[in-house]
Amino acid sequence: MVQRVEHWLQCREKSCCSYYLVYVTGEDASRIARTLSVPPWEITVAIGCDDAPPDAFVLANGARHRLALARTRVSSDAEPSCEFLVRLPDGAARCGLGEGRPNPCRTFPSQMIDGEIRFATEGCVCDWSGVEIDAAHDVELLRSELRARERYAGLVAQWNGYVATLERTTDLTHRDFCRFLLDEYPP
Amino acid sequence: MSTDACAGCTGNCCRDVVVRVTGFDAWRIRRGQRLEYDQFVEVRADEDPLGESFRIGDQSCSLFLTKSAVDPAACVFLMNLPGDVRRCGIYADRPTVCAVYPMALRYGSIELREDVRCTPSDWNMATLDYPHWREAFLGYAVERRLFGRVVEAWNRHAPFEDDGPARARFFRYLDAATEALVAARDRLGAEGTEEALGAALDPSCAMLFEEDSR
Repeated sequence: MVQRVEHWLQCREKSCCSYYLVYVTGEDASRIARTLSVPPWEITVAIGCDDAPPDAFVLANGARHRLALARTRVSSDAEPSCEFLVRLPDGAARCGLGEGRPNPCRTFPSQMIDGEIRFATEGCVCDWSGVEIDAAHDVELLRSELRARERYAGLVAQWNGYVATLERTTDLTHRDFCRFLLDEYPP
Repeated sequence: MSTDACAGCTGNCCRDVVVRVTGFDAWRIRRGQRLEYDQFVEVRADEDPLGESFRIGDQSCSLFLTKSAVDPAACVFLMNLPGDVRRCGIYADRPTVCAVYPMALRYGSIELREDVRCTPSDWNMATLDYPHWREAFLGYAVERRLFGRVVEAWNRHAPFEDDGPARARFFRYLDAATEALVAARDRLGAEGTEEALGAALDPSCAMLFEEDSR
């Protein structure tokens, strides 16, 4: 049996980094931005959404969006993958954020559903049967992630409330929202 | 992952530069990133002026970081971000030569290299954390000296053999030697580390870094 972190470090494909769009909190976005000295609007994207999850923020004309890590294609025929994925010449992939990776990447493939930890390995080509998961550690990680999401949802609600007071929102951008996040998550 | 001076960095130091690394650097990257040496490092014929070359077949060789398959001028670990921004993808495990860039040691103190590839005004020498940089240089000096000993022993004892087997043997040797040295360094503790740093401070070592630190 290998520990999950060791499994993740050794994983050659990192297919989860191509399959999933990584929705992040303001905490993740501002922390990564500050660590890299790159503005958060450069490393995240605003993904439009039809429904209204707690982390959906309003931009121009009331359109709702969620914040995700930006993706890129290393070549025109390649699948888009996380911008921070480093591809070696032999095809092996490594996470360029390492210890600074976002919370959802740390807890993958565990998810807290109705108070229970469940595995969601869709899109992942790894064999997880030989991987040892420390359930207590997962609970701790997932609770911490939940707290971060709750705080983020509160700030998103605050942002949305502010936007509702504006007479004109046509030029409201993802960048404006990111600046709000930098303000709310100080160093 | 970067200092304020690196906030506007476009990664020039990680492009168009061939990065020669020590065995310690390669070993650290291999361990930290769980890679095999041949995934990120090249063994190339090179007569290192500082005596850190090792013999493979009938050639003197050094270790160099591999270039990216996507951008042949760039380091294999360089992340290309939007806005012409580039960042190191193995910052915590980056080679010591990268960690001390763009500084040089001159008369025992730190100065900006003359051939610096960033904008010199990015670096405010009045507000620089000198003790931090000096410590980084001393660590670099110790590792280079130790690596010099490692390859010296290799060059003395390694059998002459064809290129492929010799490389594989060298990497096995590098693993064993570096692990033993790191364990010894850990065992020696503060006193031993101080002694090692003292050795690195001798005049010949300081001069060595004034002449060439990359």
